[in-house]
Amino acid sequence: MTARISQPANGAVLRLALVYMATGFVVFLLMGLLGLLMRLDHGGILVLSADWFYRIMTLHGSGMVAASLLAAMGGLAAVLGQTLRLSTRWLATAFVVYFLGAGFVIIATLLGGFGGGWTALHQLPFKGFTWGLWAALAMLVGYLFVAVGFLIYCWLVLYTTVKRYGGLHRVLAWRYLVSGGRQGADSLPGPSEIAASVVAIVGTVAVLAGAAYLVPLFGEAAGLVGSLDALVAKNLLFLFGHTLVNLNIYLAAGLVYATLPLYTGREWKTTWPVTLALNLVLLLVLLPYFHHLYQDFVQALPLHILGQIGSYGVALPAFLVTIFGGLSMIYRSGFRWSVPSILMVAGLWGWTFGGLGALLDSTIGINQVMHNTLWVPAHFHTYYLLGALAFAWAYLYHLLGELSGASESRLGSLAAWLYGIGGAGFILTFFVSGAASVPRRYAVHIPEWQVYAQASVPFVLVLMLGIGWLAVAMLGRFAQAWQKAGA
Amino acid sequence: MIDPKLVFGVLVALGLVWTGVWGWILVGSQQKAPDTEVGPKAAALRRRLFYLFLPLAVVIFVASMIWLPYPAARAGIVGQPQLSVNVTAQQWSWTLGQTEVPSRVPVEFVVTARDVNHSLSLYNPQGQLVAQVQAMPGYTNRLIHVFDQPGTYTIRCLEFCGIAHHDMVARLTVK
Repeated sequence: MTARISQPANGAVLRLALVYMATGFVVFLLMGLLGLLMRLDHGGILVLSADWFYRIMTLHGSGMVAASLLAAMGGLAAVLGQTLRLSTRWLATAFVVYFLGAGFVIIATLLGGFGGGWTALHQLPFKGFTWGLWAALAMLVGYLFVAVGFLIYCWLVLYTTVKRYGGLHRVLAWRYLVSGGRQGADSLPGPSEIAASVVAIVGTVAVLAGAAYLVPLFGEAAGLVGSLDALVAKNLLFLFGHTLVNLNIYLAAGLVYATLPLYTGREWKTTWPVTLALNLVLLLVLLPYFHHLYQDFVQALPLHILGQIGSYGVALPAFLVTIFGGLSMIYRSGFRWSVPSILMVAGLWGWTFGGLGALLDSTIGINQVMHNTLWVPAHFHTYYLLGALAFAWAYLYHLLGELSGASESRLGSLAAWLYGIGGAGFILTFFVSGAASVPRRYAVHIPEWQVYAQASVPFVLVLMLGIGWLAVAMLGRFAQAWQKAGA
Repeated sequence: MIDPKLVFGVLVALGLVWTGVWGWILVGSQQKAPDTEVGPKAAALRRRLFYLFLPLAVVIFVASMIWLPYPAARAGIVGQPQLSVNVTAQQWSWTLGQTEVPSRVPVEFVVTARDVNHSLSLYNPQGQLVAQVQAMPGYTNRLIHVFDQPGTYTIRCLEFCGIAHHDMVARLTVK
């Protein structure tokens, strides 16, 4: 059974999906510029005050996470809309609530001076000295809105898939899975539908953890309860934050399942390994967050160990099913080279390379000398830029091209190559910085460290050239695509 | 302790292998073979990779336990600490029980924080991070470390703690 990829989603869903993705892309562009400012500051080329650096860092981090997730949510809505009837009202509601959250974050950072980092680790939001309580609360309210917006999206997806297939066990293909693929093969959901449902379930757990983190903080701010325990706060925060970030790639993987077949001429089938892998993700994706707490030595040892097991464990299904599946789809397929397919290749390469960096850092002994160095942003920038985001932009470009009917010149593909090459050079300098023990989240870099950021600037410029080129190409197709989507 | 540059070397080596695999796939991607031919081969290779990666992950996991930085595990390897140094972190300075410690003996850092989360991070005279532990309000973390060379070590905060986070620096003399 395969996802029916050629049938277009209904017009309203398609338009909303375009709004999600286009908004995500614009926010990505703006946040990327903030990222460039930070690297220029690290290189000593442009000097920002510490106050502004940390405000920009906070906005860049939270904005990028929000943009990437939003783009993947929109893309997957368009994919799901091909086979399912998603409620446009709830899809629009999720967007509005989510975007309200982004507004609060902008107010908190740019107007309120909040610079407590995108993680907003307790107690820092209330003890920042350079921002007031209202700015901290605006940031936390922003997160609450983003979390609720995502939750609405998750429940919409889950409600729709469960209704369509007649139960959660059918959506997750448990009969087929347990029987070793011998039973239940006649009514299997597509891989994108299973991936979306898995994200919806785990996303609900993550949002509940986020609520358990945020509500006591509001209570503390109101003077109703005492300060939240530091260790409990960290566990809740990273169960929420890390899991949310991790889920982004599984949403984006749903786009790979839907797009790659169009460029290889092969079907991405819901096979037994696919159902096993996605069901394993359901459990395994909740465990790796413990690796954020390896250096909190008072955390119980079994939880540290579980963090390493979970980090190793979740890599196996992702690699052996989605990434290996992508490779075997492309192998001797008569692969059609174009912007979306190049971005998909960049995404599959980067997901693995970033994952290797993450795997190394998730080894407790290695984490001892890598944690909170630039190795950490190195791996998640790889995972985002050359992973989840590459998949999202591939799908957006593909969708706009398909809807507008615009043809692509051979030269146009260069934009995607610039994105991939610039991105790879950029993240490599981050990894080198991490290996040189350069700390992350530092407004000021000592002269010995500045060379790494200076080396990254040319790659960032190449990357920006690629992104700008893609932006112009997509903008040129947007109006026609919008009209066609609504027709 | 693990050398971060060695970790980078491992990443680069694996990255090159991975890029090579992609090169091979992409070079052959313009040829066309039927799905019925590629599908079974890919499934067989996936099974082999599973049986290769799973035990490999288990072996690496077990072997990596020797590097556990936690006090009981470290004391079991380097011996009981000969000296204890109290460390308190606050925005944005360090209070150290003593600023001079001997080399080549296990030293225990007893670390806490007054206000927000910080991280005690030890940089050797060459500027390489050799050990770290979180400083948490309401908790005490114990880090055992053996300084393998004398010189001036730099203590930095590696957990973001506000506007002067990057300035939260202290020196430790290792004799």
